[in-house]
Amino acid sequence: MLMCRQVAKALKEKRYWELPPHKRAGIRIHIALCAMCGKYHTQVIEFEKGVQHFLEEEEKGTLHEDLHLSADAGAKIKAAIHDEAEHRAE
Amino acid sequence: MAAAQHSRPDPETWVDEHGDYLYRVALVRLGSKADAEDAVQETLLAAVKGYDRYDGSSPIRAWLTGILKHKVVDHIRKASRMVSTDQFDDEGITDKFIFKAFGIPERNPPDWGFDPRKSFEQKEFMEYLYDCMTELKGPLRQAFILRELEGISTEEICKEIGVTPNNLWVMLHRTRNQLKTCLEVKWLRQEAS
Ligand SMILES: [Zn+2]
Repeated sequence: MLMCRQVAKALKEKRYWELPPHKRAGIRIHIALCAMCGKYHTQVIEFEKGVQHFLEEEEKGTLHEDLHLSADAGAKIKAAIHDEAEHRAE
Repeated sequence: MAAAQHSRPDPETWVDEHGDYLYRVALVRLGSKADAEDAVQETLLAAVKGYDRYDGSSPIRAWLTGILKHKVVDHIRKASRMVSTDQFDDEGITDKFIFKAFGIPERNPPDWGFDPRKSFEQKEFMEYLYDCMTELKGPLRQAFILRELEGISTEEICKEIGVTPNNLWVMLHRTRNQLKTCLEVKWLRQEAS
């Protein structure tokens, strides 16, 4: 059985969902039974799962479709790309 | 067997096709419109210069996003060297017995004002999380983005921004609390309306 500090150390090193499965299983068992660190570490893990979910949704490109690169910035970047592409074609 | 090949679109189409997407990825990580626009521009120019290296094994958007994330991390690293980050444990969390003995700041943290399992499934909630992360400030923002969004190891972050692992841990703890409060405010306001 892991100790509280070992759970804390593992969660400090990596995001929960990047830990190897056996380590995650050990952590889950510990926090389900531990009256000392269980609640705190459960919140840390739930939070990280939320961030993981956020990253998946972000990749789909469906979050905040109301946010756009401004027209000015877009035009400026297009012009810069155009110049660079022409320069390279020479 | 050859990897699936993706097309090589003309760079002059990138702003229209991927500009908004890249901007959103940059904005939540940098927290400033101007910095996000700069990051998109630097990314697309670097991509034009390095287009020979795009082998079509992943979609062009994924390739551009990879470049952008490197730019974002570089930006944060440079910005973080300009500030002192050694000031975040003013409550003395890491001196507490409970932290030394059990690795936690408190045994019974307050419950959240939302159900994480349910709310994390909702797009509106994820957009609030986006907004709350965008609003984070200073070194807490930098530490959080490097660690939680970009998955950079504790060891590397500590080296880059000059803090101890305990400092970083306190910074992440405080940032989670700020985000939790921010989410509660936005979520409860929405439920009330
Ligand atoms: Zn424990």
